[in-house]
Amino acid sequence: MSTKTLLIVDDEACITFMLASRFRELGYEVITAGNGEEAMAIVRSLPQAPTAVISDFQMPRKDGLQLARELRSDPRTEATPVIMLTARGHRLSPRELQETGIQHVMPKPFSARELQSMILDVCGPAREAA
Amino acid sequence: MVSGVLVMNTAIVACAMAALWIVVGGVRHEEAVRAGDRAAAVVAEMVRSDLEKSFAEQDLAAARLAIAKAAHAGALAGCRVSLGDGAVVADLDASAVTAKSIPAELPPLTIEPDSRHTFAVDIAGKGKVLLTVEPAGAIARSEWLEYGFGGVCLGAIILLGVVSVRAQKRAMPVTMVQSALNSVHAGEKELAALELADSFGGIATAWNGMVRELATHRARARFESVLTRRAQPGERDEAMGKMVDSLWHGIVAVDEEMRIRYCNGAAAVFLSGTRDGLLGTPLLERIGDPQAREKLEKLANSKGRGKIVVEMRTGEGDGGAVLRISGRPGSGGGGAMLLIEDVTQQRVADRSRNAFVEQATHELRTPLTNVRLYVEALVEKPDADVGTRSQHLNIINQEVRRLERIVGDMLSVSEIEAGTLKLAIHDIRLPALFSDMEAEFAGPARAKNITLRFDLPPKLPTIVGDRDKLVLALTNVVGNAIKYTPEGGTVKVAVRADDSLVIDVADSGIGIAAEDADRIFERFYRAKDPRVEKIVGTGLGLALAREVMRLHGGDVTVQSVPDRGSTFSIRMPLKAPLSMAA
Repeated sequence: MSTKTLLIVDDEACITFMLASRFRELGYEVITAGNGEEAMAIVRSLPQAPTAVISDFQMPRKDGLQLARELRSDPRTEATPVIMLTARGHRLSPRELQETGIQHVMPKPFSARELQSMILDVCGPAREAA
Repeated sequence: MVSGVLVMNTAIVACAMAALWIVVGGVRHEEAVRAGDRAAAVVAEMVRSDLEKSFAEQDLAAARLAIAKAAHAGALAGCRVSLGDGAVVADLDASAVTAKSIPAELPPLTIEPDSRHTFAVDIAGKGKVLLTVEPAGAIARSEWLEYGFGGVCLGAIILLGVVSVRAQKRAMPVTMVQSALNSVHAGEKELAALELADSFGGIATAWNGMVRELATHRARARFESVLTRRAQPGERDEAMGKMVDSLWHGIVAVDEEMRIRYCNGAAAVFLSGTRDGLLGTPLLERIGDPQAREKLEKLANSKGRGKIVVEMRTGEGDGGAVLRISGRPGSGGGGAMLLIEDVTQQRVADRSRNAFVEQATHELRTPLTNVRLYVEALVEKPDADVGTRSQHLNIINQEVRRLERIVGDMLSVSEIEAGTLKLAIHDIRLPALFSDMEAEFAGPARAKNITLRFDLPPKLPTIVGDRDKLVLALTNVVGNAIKYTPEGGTVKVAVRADDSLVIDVADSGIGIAAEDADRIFERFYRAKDPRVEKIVGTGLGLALAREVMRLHGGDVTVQSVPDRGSTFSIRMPLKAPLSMAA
């Protein structure tokens, strides 16, 4: 039995709070961070890479795009799926997607249920037989 | 035209009158003849005995008296007694009498009486005399003539009236033309003013055609006179040269080898040279941007086809400019004309606007996401505990307020842009206003672990102003302080009210570089600090705050030390300035 860990990164405390409590209820282990810099520090301090990263796009200090790039370049996290939440009117450009390896984009405002089913697709249910 | 119609009308009326005359006159004539005949017979009978008597007595005077009486009684037009040889013995007209006496022997009648107007009167023992009467029929004819004449006169008057009215109508355009001509002559109107409305028919069409032709001639004459004046050598070149030189767009003429043949002052500045120094030099040497150079090279070889537009950057960083060069190959003789415009400001404005739209979208989507997430949670868990429910509702409330503020900002900005921002003036109780603000910002400050302190004097006056707009200004300034202050920092709001109300908002934030300090109040401007670029914002808040405070007779200013913090000072007079009195 192994627990799946989600790293949720957003400078909007309301969003991280809501998503964290939701996914915890579903049985995931959740770590939150307020920006990309903090998120990277947490990732490095973890004994294991998180199962998936849910990150906001525009954040102070280090934005979601930069975070995704750094995750991609770290051998420990290069395969970690990143779900990008974006409040930008337009979608991410194909070049940005290719550079960062981001495969999942969730435009804001989104529904928590939608995100929940996306997480289920990406990393499966919270607990499963190892 | 007018006289033709007049003659025709007159002829029609005259014919009608004549026909009437003939018909009426004929009837009246017949009647008169019959009546005259009857009268003549009666008169002949009346005078017969008197005549017999006077002839018997050879009394000429008595004969004449007799016919005079008879003529009077019978209302005869004429009455005559003549002998068989034609001598007139008596006549109503005395001058017609030829016989001086009545002869003893009467000559036999040579004229056979018709018993209508001439009657034979037997004079006992002497023979016959001829009595000729001219009955009243003749008089009737003359009367009829009078009536006829009167009728003709009346007809003529009516005719004249009709003709005169029609003539006046016809003459109206002529009157209008006269007054229009006077105006044009006095220089009050253009020739076009002479044109008549189409309702005047054929006259208007013909006249308008003539007026237009005249206008064409006049315009041609004017144009030719201008050409003649321009053709004065020297004067023309000088005037044109001055005009082209004073343009703020650069104008360059190049030959087929792209060497500069002419450039005005603005172009010389854009190409970083002097007008005289640039003459004869290759234009492409002055174009630093390789892409622009490549495109311009094609212009020289395009042989009169097509127009090209290139944009290039000159200089480095903030001192740089964006130039747009439009070129068109010269017709025929080779070479090209180029127009150089400085579009730096336009590009800056475009960038700001795009950034604004992007930021505004972001700003709106973030609170919307929060509202959606928390509403969703409440809907999914209707039986959640009271604490959770109230926490969710508080967040929703807070995010809706945030949306409200953003939309309010945007509306106010559009009002400022349109020049329609108005203040709704009321009394404002400052203690209540500040305690509302303190409550509003407590949450966001706590979220960033920022110490937010309001320093209010024990007593604050009531001021006059637009409460909503003042709150908007203050919210933007205090909100900025919290936004740009790192976690664990402090934001202090100090209020003073002596001569004027002064609100100092001091933060321990990232500070503002001197070159940005002047510009942060510009709309859409955001400081170039990379730390700022990561923080969401529309670039409108401070512009709005300053505009609102200036409408209140005050201002917003800033003092800042980079990396140590900034102090924004909001000032406004305690008494409403005159401009706000309305």
